[in-house]
Amino acid sequence: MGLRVLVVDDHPAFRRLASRLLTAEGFDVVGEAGDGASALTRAAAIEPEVVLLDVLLPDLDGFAVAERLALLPHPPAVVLTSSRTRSDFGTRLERTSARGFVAKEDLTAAAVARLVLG
Amino acid sequence: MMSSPWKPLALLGITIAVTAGNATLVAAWADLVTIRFAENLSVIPVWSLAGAVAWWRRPRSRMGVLMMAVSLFAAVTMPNGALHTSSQAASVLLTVVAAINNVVFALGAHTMLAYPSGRLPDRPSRYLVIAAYAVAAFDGLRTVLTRTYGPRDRPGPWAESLLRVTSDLGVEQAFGLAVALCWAVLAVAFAGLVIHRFASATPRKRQTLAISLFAVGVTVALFVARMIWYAGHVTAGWGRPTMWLLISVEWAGTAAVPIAYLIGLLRERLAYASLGDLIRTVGDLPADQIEPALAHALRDPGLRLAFPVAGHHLDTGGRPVTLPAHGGVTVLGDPASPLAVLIHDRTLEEEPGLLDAAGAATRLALENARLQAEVRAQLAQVRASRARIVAAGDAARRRLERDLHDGAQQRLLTLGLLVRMLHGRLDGIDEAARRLADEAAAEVRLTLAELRELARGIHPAILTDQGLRPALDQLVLRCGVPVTVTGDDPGRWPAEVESTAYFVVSEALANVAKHARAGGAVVNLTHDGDLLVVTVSDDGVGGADPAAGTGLTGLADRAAAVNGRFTLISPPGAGTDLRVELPCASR
Repeated sequence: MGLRVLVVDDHPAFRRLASRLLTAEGFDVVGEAGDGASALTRAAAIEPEVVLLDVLLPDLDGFAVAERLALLPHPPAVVLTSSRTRSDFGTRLERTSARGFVAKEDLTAAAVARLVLG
Repeated sequence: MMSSPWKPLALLGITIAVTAGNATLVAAWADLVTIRFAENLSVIPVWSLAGAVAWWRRPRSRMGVLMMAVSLFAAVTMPNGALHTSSQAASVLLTVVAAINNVVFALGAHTMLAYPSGRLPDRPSRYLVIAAYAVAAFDGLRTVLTRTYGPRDRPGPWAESLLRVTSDLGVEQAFGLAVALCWAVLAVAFAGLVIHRFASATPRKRQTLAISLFAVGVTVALFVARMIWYAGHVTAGWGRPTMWLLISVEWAGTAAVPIAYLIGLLRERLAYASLGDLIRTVGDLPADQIEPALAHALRDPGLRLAFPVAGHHLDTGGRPVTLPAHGGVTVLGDPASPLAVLIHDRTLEEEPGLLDAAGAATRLALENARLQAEVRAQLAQVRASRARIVAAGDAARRRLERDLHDGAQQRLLTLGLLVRMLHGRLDGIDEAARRLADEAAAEVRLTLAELRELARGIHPAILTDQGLRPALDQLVLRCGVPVTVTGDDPGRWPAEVESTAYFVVSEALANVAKHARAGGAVVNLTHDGDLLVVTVSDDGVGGADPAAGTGLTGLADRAAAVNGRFTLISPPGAGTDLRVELPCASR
């Protein structure tokens, strides 16, 4: 597929694993970020097509970052993720502009692809 | 407190004698019995009787002496007028009377400023009284030297001051005007001082000062009017009859001051009588009401009780209190180990006997009140301690949930990811190995779910992150019976309130699932100002009993630990209604 992905998560170990997982299935991981502020800066700079975004970041709320990403000139497809499950977020997931949510325990490249392409 | 009545009686006798003597002389020598003599007579009985009573009942206060002195001066200076005689004795008398006549004004001012304690309370009062005596002396001097007593338009013989140096009318009027001005200025200053004192008095003191303020006001107004009349008479020839009228009303008004003093003494007697009432009723009073009962008996609505306990003071509710630094504090009981401390209006300091009597009368009740205050203080400490323990427990659970999340859960997530990557590699290459990877992934998923449930049971993350309503929405999905959550989202509340509310609902729903055999339940959230109200109602069999050990006792304790209230209505066969009210002082 060659879709260009920015991985945003405050755990470096997860970023490495997620990058390996996505690269193995054909995604092109073009950048990483450890917090909301640097995620927005990197996204503005490299203009990825997909952003894999952890909801619980140290500085900004992931939902707020998703809204800001939607305002970029070429807004990427945002896939939210978290170590918590979907039901832990209640109605917030229905109101977000992100494409969707994949819990980390269910994270596969195929799941991301389904949300981005389908 | 009372002295023998002989000294005041003696002075009273002297006053009566002087009055009688002067009245005789005036009757013999005066050309006309003018109103002037009558008004002196009107002052003498009131001031001398009141003064005598005051001296007898309150010998330490100088009010009695002052009032009798005013009366005596009024008696001595009765012949201050035109005496139609050539007798040398009359002239001698007239000289003396002329010299000292105006001292009575200064004495009157002195008495009114020293009211009711008999002593001048501050420097402005002392300066004013000294100035008044000085002006009186000056006035006496000019009278003796320049006043012509006999009317100029009628033939003599008239008694005159032996020290008179001129009979020129112009000179007499000039000096008279100067002195009148001085008196007018003093009168205004005097009025200002009395008004200031009234305005800055405590409410209890104003009761005492009210009548004297009125009397002083009338007196000063008329005094000033009299001076103005004199100036008008000298410069524009105003007539005498108005003056006599003014003077009479002025003298009559001053009678209010000794009468007010007597009324004050009477009220003190009544205060002791009300103490008698207190003694009769205090045995039946609960400890809560001893403070208002004392305040009522002592006519001090702001009166407060304080109990010395272990180096500081507690009020009747067990709360710490600091004693005022500037008086109004009286210790009751043995000074070495005082029973209680009264915080009161400063005017009560003038009646120490009253306070001691009040303390003695209420000793037993005060001991009870003191015990109650100590118990309440201890209860407050216990409550605070319990709240701290509960808060510490909540904090520990939140930390545990965080540690689980950051530690074991992260590792399992990583494990899951690795297994899925393995699964991807094996797909199409080794089917048996791929199926093993599938089983491993399923195990990881189950372990994560169990860990998550465990963490939620310890402390649900969604409660910390998003608040009560979202947490309850998630909680009810896992209950065994259908549960509806109603009411508005109350927003965020302090952590201990949210935890308590969540666990109350959690425990209540667990009971519903286990015991109630209900078809459904409703959880309602409302907030009313500073109060969060949570109710859980089901349509099951009812009959829930907090004492039967179903965990409902724990709920009542939990609610009480954050100063909340817990009510349970569960008639057998009619369902169960559980209600918790949780206060929050600051949101």
